[in-house]
Amino acid sequence: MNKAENENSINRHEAMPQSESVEDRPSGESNREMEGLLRNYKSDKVHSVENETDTALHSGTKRLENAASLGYKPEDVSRLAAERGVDSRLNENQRAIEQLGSDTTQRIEAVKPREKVENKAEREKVMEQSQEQRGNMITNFMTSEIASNGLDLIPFAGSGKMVVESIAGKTLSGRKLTGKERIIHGAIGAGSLALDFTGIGEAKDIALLAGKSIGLVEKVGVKLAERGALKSAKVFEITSKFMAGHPQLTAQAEKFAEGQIKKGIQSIKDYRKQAA
Amino acid sequence: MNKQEITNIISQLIALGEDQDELNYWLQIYDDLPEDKQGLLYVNLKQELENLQKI
Repeated sequence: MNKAENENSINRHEAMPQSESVEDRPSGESNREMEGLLRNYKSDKVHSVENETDTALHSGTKRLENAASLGYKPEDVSRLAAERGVDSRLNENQRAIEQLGSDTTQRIEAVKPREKVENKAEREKVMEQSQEQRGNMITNFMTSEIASNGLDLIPFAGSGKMVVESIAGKTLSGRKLTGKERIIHGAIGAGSLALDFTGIGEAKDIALLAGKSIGLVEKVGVKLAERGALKSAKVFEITSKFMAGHPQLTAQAEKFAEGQIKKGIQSIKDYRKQAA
Repeated sequence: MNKQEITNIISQLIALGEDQDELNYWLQIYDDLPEDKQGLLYVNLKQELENLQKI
């Protein structure tokens, strides 16, 4: 069997064993059955390739044995083989056959059920949408708790919501946020409302959030507790611990939020200049 | 809806490949969320589970 034949054999769908009952079953069960069938099919094919490879590897020796049986003395066969480079060619062929067998086995092992890949993409989409809804929920909750308890500390009132939304945004460097990132971004967005921007308007290089966001979220929690909003305070406390448990994601989110806040400050300054 | 039900849904979601860390966070804050948010979270998780089970 040459490489092309092997590939055809791998891709030959009609050779796959089929089960009439698969389509009638729930998706998860039929997927498992299909995976089992594919596993068995692959195992059969790998076994077949091993047998074919083994047969091919030993056919050269048999030809030499046949030549000896036709009346050639073994030493003549050896001499002729050496003179004509038969041995080295046989060795090359043997290596090529072994390599082909190994490559084919690897290709068979690498075959994955197409349905499984599509299911994975669909599963990820469902998870992503659900995580996004949850992320929006916690962002709105934390922000509204700050506002409804009179903790709207941001000096440019009215723009706070916009800044929070931009921090809790849907994407980061062109990719969608994960569920964990959504929680952290939402919390940092809400926590940024507690930032004291006084006197930093001109200093572009001052770090507003780096290493501070967990403290900010804790601070909001303490202030809520002082105002009697104990349950909300607990949510902020748990969230700050969640952030502390994911320092890398928190640092990334702080960096992103920093840029968004500075853009927000700049837009306010520009607006004030225009108004003046 | 109660905490046990949410816990059960979350366990099933984790078994289906959802992020354990993220879902544990929701479980931790569940009791401290106002009722309307608890309801939203319940619907969100239940819907996700049903959708994943269909795939």
